[in-house]
Amino acid sequence: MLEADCRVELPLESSLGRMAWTWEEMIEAFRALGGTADNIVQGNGARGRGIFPIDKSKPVRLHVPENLLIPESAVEFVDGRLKVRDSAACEQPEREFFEEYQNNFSWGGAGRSECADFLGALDRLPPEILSLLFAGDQTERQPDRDHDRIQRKFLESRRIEGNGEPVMMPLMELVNHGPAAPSFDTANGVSVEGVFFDEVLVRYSLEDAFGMFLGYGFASPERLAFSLPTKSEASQKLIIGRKINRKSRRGSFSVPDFKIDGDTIELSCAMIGNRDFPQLSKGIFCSIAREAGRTNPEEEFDAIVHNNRMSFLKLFAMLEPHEGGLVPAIRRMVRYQLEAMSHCVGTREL
Amino acid sequence: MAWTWEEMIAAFRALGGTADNIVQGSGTRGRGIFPIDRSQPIRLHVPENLLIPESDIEFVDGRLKIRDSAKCGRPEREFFEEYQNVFSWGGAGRSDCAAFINALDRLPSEILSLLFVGDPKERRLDSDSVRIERKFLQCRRIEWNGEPVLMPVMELVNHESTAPPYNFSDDISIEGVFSDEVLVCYSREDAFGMFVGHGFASPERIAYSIPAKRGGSHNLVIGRKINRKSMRGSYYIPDFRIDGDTIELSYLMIGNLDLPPLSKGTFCSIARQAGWTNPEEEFDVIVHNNSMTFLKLLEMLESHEGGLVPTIRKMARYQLEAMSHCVGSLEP
Repeated sequence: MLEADCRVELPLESSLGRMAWTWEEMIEAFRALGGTADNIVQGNGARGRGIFPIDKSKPVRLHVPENLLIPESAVEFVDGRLKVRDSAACEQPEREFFEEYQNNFSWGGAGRSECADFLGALDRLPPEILSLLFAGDQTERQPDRDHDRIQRKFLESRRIEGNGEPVMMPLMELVNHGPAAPSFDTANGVSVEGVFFDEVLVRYSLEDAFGMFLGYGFASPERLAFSLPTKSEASQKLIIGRKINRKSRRGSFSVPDFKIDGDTIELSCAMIGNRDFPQLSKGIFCSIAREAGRTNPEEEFDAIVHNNRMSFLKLFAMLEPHEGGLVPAIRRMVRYQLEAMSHCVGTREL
Repeated sequence: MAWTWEEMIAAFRALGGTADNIVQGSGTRGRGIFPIDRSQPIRLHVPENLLIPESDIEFVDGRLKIRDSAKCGRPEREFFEEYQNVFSWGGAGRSDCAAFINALDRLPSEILSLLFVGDPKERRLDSDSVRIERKFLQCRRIEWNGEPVLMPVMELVNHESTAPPYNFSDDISIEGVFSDEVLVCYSREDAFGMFVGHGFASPERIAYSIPAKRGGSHNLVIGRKINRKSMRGSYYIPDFRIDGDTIELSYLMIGNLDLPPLSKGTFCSIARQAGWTNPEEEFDVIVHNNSMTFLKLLEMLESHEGGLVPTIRKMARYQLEAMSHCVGSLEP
């Protein structure tokens, strides 16, 4: 859910010319197309609207089959409504379900208004704060027309990588994020299951608090922290990106992709804090840096963490004279990021 | 008739004080001391006869006085009491301290507990007047020749971490050319210490650990008695004691804007002397605990506004910034 006022806009009639869907009608149609929605209901909680177990003592199962995962490239906005493109390889029942679902429970439900509120709140921030937040990403700041930005924000915050391309996942996208929750199971469609004593939560991705805020618009106490993008042009070059992944291995640990080219180390991302393994961040960096022939990788890593801390503390300083809007959420995000970064203690050999 | 500034300065000079090219004014830090002619040097010197031991001070009927039993000449006594009641305690000193104490009292108890973790709780149960008087003396005294003294006129100069310190070789004095306000570095405190001691948020160049006691494979006791009594090589280090598996440090520096590798290096040097095998990680744990404490303070402040909240938030940020300047390791 986005950190913004929630104004619900419900259509009086569905696109099929009938009364707006109820939750039960939608679930029935979902199941008829192969979806599983056991023991769940929509409700309100600490995170706003979300999905809750009907019976908290029993397991929940929510499964979106592949036929209902609509590629992002196959959707379009027409006259303010979210539709599946005519040219998309999508069966008619799935197409009708997706469009009806979107316009009752997602885009038309409150999705559009939440994204609009978030972007409006962003636009009210002072430019120096926006520059710091989006230093590595100018797409958010492109001078698109408002409705294009709102549509892009909506799709960005609801898509997931499925079969190598971003897809929309009806119903599943109503589940809120929890940093300690299990991840989506993407082995066969997208699913989540388990016993939940309160709200049904899922871990959206391997992002840190900063990434969560940029991607989804909320402050979340994540267990990891990754470095901001950086490029050092000293005699020994270091390039750090923010393509969060665990595609490579060092010892028994999954680590981000990296490349060593002469004097240059290029890291797809650099972990700089880990609540569960505080020694790992420095250990990974030092292992790679020593392979590249660096003689004092510990100090080099300390400098990276220091620069990150100072960036977030600078953001904190900029927020001091301001209140309201997104300021409390950004302040909280900064604190979460600094807390995760603090969990960087010692080093371990990989 | 109440003293004017000029009358007070004349009396100050008559008793041996020096006050060249200075005047009271208002600036970004509130009331302070400014050069009359900014192109000329200032000199402010408080002679020994006007440095009044804190133990000689008492409050009588709301006025600050020197005890009858104190060894203080009559002219000095009259000057000090008149100065205090027109320019300091009676000027705005009492009301400033009262406002600060009131603002503190409006903070939630969990924030107060975190700020004053080493401070006996019973001090907060004293009457308001006792607490205000104690606060006033605490933020105006200075250690001189082994005892805390009050320093009239000099105590009106505001603090800046990058300003020169007091000159103690010449009783207590400051001098120099100041293009704006006359400032002095009060002490080697960090941002946290400045707030607790003086009530303002100041971006300091050093951070020290909060007091801590840790057990485990090694025992560690960290205080907050910041001093420059010991040296190792050309660097100041804390007083320390090694007793078997226990290290006791009078204080521990955990961040230094001017020498980022020194904090870890100093600790590791002492810990290795005590036979610890992985002092780098032990130090990281200390810094982590300090970071989390100040981040917890920021968290507690999130649901409050007004009063001292913005100042404490700034103080916590200054402390975290100074702590961040801890990079690498340089063993003295």
